[in-house]
Amino acid sequence: MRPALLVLALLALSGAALASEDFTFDISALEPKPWTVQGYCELQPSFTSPDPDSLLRRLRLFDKEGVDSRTQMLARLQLEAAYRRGDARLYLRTNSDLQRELEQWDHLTSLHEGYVSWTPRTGLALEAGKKVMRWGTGYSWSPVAFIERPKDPDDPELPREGFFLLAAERVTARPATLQTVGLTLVLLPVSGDVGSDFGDEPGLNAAGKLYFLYADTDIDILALAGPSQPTRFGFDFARNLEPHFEVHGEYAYAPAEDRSWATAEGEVFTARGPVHRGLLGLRYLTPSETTYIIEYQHNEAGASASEIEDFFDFISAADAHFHETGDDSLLQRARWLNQELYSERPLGRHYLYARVSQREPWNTLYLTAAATLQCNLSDGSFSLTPEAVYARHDDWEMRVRVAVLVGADRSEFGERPGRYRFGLRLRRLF
Amino acid sequence: MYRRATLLTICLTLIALAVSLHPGMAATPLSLGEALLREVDQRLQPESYESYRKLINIEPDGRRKEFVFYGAKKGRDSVLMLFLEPATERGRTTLRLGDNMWLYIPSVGKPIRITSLQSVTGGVFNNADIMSLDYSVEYSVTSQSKDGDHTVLDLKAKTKTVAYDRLKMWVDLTRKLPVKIECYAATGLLIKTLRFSDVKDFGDGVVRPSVVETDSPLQKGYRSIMVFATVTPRPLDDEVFTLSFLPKVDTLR
Repeated sequence: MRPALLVLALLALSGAALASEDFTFDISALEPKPWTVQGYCELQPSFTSPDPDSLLRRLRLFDKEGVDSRTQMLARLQLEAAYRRGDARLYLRTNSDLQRELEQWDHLTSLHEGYVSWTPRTGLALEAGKKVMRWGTGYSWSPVAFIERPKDPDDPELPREGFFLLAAERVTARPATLQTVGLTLVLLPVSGDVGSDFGDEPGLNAAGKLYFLYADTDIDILALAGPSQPTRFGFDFARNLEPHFEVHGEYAYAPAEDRSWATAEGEVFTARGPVHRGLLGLRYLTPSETTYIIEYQHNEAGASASEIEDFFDFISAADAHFHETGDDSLLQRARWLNQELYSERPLGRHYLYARVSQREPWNTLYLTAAATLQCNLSDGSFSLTPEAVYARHDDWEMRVRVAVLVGADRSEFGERPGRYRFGLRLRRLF
Repeated sequence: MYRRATLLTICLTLIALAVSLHPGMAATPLSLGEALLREVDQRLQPESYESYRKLINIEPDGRRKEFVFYGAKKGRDSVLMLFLEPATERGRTTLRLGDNMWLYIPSVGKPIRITSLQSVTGGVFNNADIMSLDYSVEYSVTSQSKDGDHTVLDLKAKTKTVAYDRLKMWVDLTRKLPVKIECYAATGLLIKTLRFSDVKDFGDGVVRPSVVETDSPLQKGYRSIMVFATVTPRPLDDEVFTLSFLPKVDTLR
């Protein structure tokens, strides 16, 4: 066949194919099965540019001279399995991490969730086992999440481990101004190994959430009482003022909560008193699909700028003492203080969290570009994290991000071990 | 007593005359248009139903990405949608109650408020197209005309919260089904065109287009296609359309 004829034949064939585009699909493969197993595996290589002047870097590496602290690798496998029989369901979620950091490999596998649920009718559910209860309307932080492990502000969507609990939920709905009312009651036992990570004091803790969808506004009223955690009360709300403009907020109050801090000499003081926590935020979408999330965080239990400065003064003095005498006892104490008093996030009292994300920038489908700012308003230090997520292929997702840390000496982000951190995450879902 | 009755009669007559003469309230042609729009709504979406759908995004170079989801609707403004495929989206669930819309992502674990203007799948369809309410809930008929075999309804959004300010709907009068809808912004800009085809009998009296295709002058060369595999009338509890039920939507299937 001559080339021109071949081209014409191909064009005719492709035309016929387009004209007869068949969009029907078979749903028999989607029939629900009693067992489902799914999950993902991911690889996260990262590189940290060290800050030689960082006090936290010195604290971390004083007994690891010559060890490479710049490269890290994390391999994660998350598995979910569910079994359904009638109104009952069994759900399991495990997380396995293989991590290489400071030239050492670590492995940890844990059961993040494992519970049975029974739903005798729509709007009524009973659950027992290890479960994550996510309460609150905040994106970066949730002060009313009384029975949940804290979010990582660097990655608020990271999967977290639940607590052992017994929960009952009743929801009623009707087409009216008060559209939905929901009540959730939770019991959390702490005894021996069960629930020991919820609190030290053994006993039975009780929590509750009353939810309303009233006049297009989500409202929650929440409480926690029991021996293992300070008693807390709170509320949250979320509402769309316009279709593209949402506001949300949370407030939590603990009448008597212990707060500890360290002096520049490494002494620890503890005081008990009322603690207020709050968050106010908005989410705004522009016509070009740029989303802005801005949140202000107030955490009265956090460390003040002067307390953070005192702690860094102590690390500096401990480091100087170590170099003069070779005695690392003060640095070991500083490491313990860092773990016990200053590892919880948010560390400080006032933060601004802002995230800008753009869907399909430059008309590139399945690409999302974003930048996140976390600023400690007390000391002016901040982290800025631009990132891009691409999910072109059905089961693959790729994320690239760079975190840049900026701040003066003795400030929260200024004393972090690295100046910037480059990270890649390649995730395969199944 | 007699005087009062006379006065009342005169007042009512004057009001009736004013109403009938007012151009914006010329009831006869518009009520026909509204009636036709309601009939279109009833044929497109039964009162309470579930469906399986596939959404296909086609890029200018012919590359495709497909999404499969399970959807349910009750009444005029309660809609939900659960993604079944691909794996990157599996378990994502959206709920719409009138103007309110939430997205539940299993890894996040709690619903966040989103808007009908966004697109949870990317491509030309936005959330309002995929989780559409009855047209007569969101739009009023402003005029109607003929275009060949079709009746053309001009629709105007009842509130500013609706995704498109104006719609132009071509209706096949024999089947009382839309064949094409043009969506306009308040500025008069054409945002996208929806084309309805392959009318199919889904059973239980549901006969409607099984394919909806859209393109947009704002995204030249891109197409999105929504294919209905099933549309099955089914009574559903009001509690199904609540935030706490979002993680459990799969139990409906």
